[in-house]
Amino acid sequence: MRYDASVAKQELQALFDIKGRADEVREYLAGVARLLPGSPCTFAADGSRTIYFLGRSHWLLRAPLEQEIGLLEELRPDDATEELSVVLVSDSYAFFEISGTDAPDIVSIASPLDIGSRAFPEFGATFTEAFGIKALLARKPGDRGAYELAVDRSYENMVAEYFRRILR
Amino acid sequence: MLEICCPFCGRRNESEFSYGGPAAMRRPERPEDLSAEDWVEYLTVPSNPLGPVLEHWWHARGCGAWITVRRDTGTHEIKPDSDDA
Repeated sequence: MRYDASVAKQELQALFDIKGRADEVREYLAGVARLLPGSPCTFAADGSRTIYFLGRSHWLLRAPLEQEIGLLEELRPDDATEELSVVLVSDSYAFFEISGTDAPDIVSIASPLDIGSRAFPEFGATFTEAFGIKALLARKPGDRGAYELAVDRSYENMVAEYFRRILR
Repeated sequence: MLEICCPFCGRRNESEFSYGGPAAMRRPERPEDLSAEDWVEYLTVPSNPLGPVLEHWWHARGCGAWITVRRDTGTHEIKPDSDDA
């Protein structure tokens, strides 16, 4: 059986790991992103910048790589308060986009997460398990139902090979 | 396969979690007085009664939270501990 889906490895992007109390993080990020996710396990996109709300005190800020230096200057991680942890982790994750009519089937092969539209609606984002390892999964909005899967970059080739075998 | 309810993420597959041991177990008052055998017994041999037990689980492949759940060893029914709910 061949799936009507495609998997594309994403270009390197600027990525900041942010940990802290929600109200402090919201205040801290207000200067770099106008739209913040309000609910657990969701993301919000504000132009080219995306913020993922992944744990009670865990957030990820993602932006095009060319904004990395500017964001470093804006966020000033070294000057963050004691209650905040801000770490540049751009090189730590590899992102894959899974799109096409059968994209949900591909994601269901990879992960045990319930990706039904009630349990994991558009703008859903969460850490879960995929191909047996910890992964970040996000469901993009739109009729085609594309997903993004991010894994520790050391697993990039392994995950790419798994996708290749599923789609061949 | 068990489903465990994480207070932040909702119901998730057991494979996202790591077992963290019994929650209600008390460390011996004076560990230095225990024999090596008794210390090993305390550390590695949790009681396994039939019925509800209180356990710690770590959402290692999820949000990273430590949670306490009440699991029935007879039915595998899992409920959040009232402190986490």
